[in-house]
Amino acid sequence: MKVLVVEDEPELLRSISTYLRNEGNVVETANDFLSAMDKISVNGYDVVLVDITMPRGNGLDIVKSLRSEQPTTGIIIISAKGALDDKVKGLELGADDYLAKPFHLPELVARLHALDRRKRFKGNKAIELDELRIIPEDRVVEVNGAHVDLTGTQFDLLLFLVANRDRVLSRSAIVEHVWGDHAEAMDHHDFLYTHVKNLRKKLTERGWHDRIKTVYGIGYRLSTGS
Amino acid sequence: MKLLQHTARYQLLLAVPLVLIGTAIGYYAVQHIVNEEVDEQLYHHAAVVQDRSRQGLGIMPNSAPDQSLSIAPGSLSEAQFSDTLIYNSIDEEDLPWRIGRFPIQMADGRPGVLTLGRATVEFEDLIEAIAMTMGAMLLLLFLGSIALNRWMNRRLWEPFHSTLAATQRFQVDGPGPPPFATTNVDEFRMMNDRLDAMMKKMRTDFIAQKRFSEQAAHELQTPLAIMQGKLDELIQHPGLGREEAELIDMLYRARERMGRTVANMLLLARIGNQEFAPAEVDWAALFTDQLQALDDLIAQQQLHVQLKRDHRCRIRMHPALAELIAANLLRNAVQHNLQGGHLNIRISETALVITNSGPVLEVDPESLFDRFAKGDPSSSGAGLGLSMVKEVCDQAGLELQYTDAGGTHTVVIRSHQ
Repeated sequence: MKVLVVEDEPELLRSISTYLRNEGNVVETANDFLSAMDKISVNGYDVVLVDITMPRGNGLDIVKSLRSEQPTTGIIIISAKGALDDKVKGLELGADDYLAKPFHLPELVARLHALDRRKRFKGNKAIELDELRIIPEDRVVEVNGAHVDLTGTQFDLLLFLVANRDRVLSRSAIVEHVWGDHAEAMDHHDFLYTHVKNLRKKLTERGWHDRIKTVYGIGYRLSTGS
Repeated sequence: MKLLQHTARYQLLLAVPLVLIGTAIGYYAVQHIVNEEVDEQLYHHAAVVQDRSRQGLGIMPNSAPDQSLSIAPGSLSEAQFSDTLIYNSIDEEDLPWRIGRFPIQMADGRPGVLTLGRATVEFEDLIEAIAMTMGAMLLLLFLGSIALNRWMNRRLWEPFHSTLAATQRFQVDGPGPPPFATTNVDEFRMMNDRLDAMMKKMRTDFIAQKRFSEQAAHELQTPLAIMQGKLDELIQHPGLGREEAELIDMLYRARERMGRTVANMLLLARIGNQEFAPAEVDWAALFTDQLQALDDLIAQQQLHVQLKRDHRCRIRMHPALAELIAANLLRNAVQHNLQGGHLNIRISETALVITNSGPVLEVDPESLFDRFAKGDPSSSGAGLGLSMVKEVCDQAGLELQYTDAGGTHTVVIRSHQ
């Protein structure tokens, strides 16, 4: 994927671009309104990540002009404002998704994947990973062609691991992705452990070769390498 | 009660005793005058009788039914008057008489007492008629002045009511203060000027505060986002040992708590700014959604959940705030529940009631609405969840109650409209 990250905070810009590059994306950056508009007018991008508050201009204006000039480009707003009206306004102007700061980088990756599926494959793309096959749109999972009956939580968990395959995922990122604001009420360790255990069990029962690795003290990783 | 009703009430409070007292005074005054008149007549009559007696002409027999005359031996130094009731066989009732007693020289030369009587019943009727007329006139006068007052007040207070209506339409986050109608009453003009200045100040303060909370959000969320990004990068490093992993885990947790606190503080500020316009809410659907989101926790604790909707709830609220209330209350009820406990939600026309089992509280349940208050000090929450619920309820004019009856916790949100 070709991604433009528009963010005025240099350290955050660096973290995002490094992380996305390591995912195999082509990443370009802009740290203010004008350079963002310049790059957009010259290059075509699959996805543009836009911060709303930035020097010399408003991110919402970028969303507006992108939407009118390059309707196929995906737009994700990343904003520290977290204000409801920003979210509503941004989505009304044609942004595809909205991510409030601070966010976990794996969360951003998962959103990018979902957006890419919607934009390029109209949601009809199955994800295949060796004997595992996931059709995200229908929330269907198959192992070696056999249907696996997962709960909503287990499905979300699996899809998040798959979107961030070969990356270490912190428990905090997983819990927040799956349970949202209610993560506050959970004790990460035991709670997540139980759900991962159940997911593993259901998949391996169908003949899946367990690739979910526990990373001590931190979280989990789904490896694809043999 | 309206201002005009207040003044009318005071006027009536004054008018009723005044009319009663006025009527009574009129009654006694007229009665006094009539008595004097009757006494005078009795004097004249006595003088005639005394004259005839002195000249030895004999007493004229009394012929009128409303008069009486008698002479008895006795002595009296001067005339005396009194009122009495005498039974009348025709009317079959006691009737009022005025009695005068005078000294007289009897025909045989001995001193005697002349007693003259005069029925006063026709005067009584007259007195009553006069008193009633007076009372009626007083009453009419008062009612007339009250009506006049009302009419005048309504005219005089007209600019006040128009100002009141304008202030009621004013919204701090709306356009500028409404223009007030011009008035030539100094006090009202001053009030309008002051109100106008206050509203303008409120608006600028509100905008400044809103801008401040936005800036605070940006300033705090950005470094948090950087921390988060760096941590996410850091854990990708191969060769992290167990010790490092544990340290990083601590950092993750600390960042999470910080992020939650900052987000909630900003949300609190926003609720306080009254940025959210109320709308109709389908509370049952909202609670159902939130219960679903908490499904895993509910299953883990094997809670018995019951949602009962008696009526469509009329409590209006901005959808985001309604969700915040439902999410926070349910999360609280689930998080602080017991294994195998219960959680009941009842939705009625004017109230939302959430009851759950839980440990007996050692603090006053109402104190949990305070910011940063925690029932369980080791909880990783910031202690802002319930205070946000409180803030939302306060802003919406809803009553919020939290009671703990020996381990049964009940939160009630009630509308009094």
